[in-house]
Amino acid sequence: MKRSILFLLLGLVLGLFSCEKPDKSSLPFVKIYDDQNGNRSFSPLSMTKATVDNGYMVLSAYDGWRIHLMKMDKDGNFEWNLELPEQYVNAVPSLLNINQQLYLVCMDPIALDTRILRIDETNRQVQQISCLEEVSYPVHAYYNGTDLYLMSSPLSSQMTVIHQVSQTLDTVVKVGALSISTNVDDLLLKHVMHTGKQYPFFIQSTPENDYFAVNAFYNYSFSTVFFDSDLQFSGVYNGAAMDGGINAIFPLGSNNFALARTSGENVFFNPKAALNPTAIAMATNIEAEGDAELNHQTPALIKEISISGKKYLAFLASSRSNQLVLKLYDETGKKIKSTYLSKNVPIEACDMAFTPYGELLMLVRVRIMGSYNRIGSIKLSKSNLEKLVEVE
Amino acid sequence: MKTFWGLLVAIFVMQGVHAQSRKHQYRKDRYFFGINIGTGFTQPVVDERFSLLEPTPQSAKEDYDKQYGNLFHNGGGVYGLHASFAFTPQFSMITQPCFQTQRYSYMNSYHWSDTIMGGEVYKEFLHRQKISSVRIPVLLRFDFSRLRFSPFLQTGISADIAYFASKQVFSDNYIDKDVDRKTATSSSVAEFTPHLNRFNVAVLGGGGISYYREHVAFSLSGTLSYNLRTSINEFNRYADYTGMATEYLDVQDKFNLLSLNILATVMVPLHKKW
Repeated sequence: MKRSILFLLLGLVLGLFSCEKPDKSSLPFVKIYDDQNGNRSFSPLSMTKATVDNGYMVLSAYDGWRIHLMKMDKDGNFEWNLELPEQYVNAVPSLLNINQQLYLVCMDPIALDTRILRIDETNRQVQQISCLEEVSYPVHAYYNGTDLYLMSSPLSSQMTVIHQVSQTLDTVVKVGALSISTNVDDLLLKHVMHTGKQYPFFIQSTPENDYFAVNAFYNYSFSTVFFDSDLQFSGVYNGAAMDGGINAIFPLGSNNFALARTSGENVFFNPKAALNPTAIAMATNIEAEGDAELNHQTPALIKEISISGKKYLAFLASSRSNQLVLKLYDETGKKIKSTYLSKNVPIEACDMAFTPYGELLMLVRVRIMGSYNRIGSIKLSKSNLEKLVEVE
Repeated sequence: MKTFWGLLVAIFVMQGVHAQSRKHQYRKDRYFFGINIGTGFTQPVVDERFSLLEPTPQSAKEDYDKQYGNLFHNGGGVYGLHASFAFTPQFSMITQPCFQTQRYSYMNSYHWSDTIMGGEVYKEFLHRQKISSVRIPVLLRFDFSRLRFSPFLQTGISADIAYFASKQVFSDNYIDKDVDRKTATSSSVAEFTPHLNRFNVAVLGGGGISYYREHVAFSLSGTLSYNLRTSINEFNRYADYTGMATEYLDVQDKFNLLSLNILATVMVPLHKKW
């Protein structure tokens, strides 16, 4: 009797202490990065993996178009930040990793031309490496692994211009242009100053590198225009004036795209849409599944991720009821899971990254205490993601 | 002088015990069954601190550590059953399965300078959590005397199964380390259970005094318990089941609960002989 009680107690204690001790780095987290200045409003723009360690660099706008850089470690802990001097404003929402160096593209507030800055992660500073005088009011930058492309929309020009930049990042070597045919200066200024609607400008090449999908002002609308590799117009999916159209795209190859589009006040997702790069069509006619709970005025993001060795497409958007909605689709386009993140506080998805450890890291803008827009990060662990796709 | 008074008290106690030697109470091989009721106090012993708001050089504070109330700020209740068996007149094994309510609270505060909102913005929060659980302890008790009045010490372990937990937040706009729950703005009460490690094991130790009569016995005991597992599930610490995480900038620390339970027990001997 006594011996069995002893064994029972021993088993209980051993069982207790043999419980799995999680590696802290593998755990999910939510972080909001503080700033005591209540007047300061942050708009996170882009996040990319640091080149010097496993942390992440975050690019944000604050006080309108001022530029803020922040470094966090892989567990979301703050490491350092840097407010760029006033001579650099209007960072485009792309942190670029070019040959293992991080770059950002911004503008001079007086000359209105484009500056390319190299981020020195070790010394926590930036260095201007070039000035592109012919590129005025940059709105997007895209590096396809070999070349840097910039999109600009100079005020009063009624033009959208795509620039291919030289390998040395100091001259423009090729240009493609679109006529907007109407004045969008007011919309553009509100966009770059972060005081109005944020337009989902993007340049995205297809996996075959035969076309570029360009989301930009074009022909009285905000549309998705296809350029060929020589930056010549190929086709267009027109948006509904300045309000409806494609707001996120992820090329899957063979002219298939995962996309998010808006129409009226609704957001629609299609994880596998066949788009013809030479067609002239309406973006609002692309077949897609609507989701009435999503907020059409906030960004939607699409990323390919890998869970348990299988590829999935992750769609991230904000709901009208202050939640992030994450939807996972498998390679066939079948919806596997829709889940909610965060509650009760206005929150916008700004960027997301799939980490080398199989985790999903999301960059968000959170309005805390009902007043202050702050940079936030949310990480879903590998096991979180595995649980999401388990329930098929 | 202190030695004198100490000696005097010791003499009185010894005399009292000796005086009762004629009131010998036979306890060997007896079962006792009863009920108990009492109060409990809880204190989180923090192992690692977490904060949703990450301090930066532009923050008002270098950290946002929670300020926990002390043990006696966090009262709860205990009620349950008592069963024991005396192997010898002074040595017995006890179990006291009970329902218990543990509470713990903490405060934190934030400050922003905001000229648009009218200068300085202060927010102070009081977070109150309540955990209801079933506790099944197994204790070994050593009685110091064989008399009717018998002081005792006891130690053991218990299995704790949390079945419900809730949380409520109170806030005001002054940082004065005091949030008056009667006047403060309060959140709704949110269920907190999924954030917990539902099963826990505690080590227990304490003492008390018993009074034995032929057909009934009473005891008053105080028992300290320390949960060996942390109370919050590390895998879903940030899961925000309450909906209060980003709203109140709240995330639970990693801690183990320390409790002091004071129990009054009434028991009857059901079986006189083995």
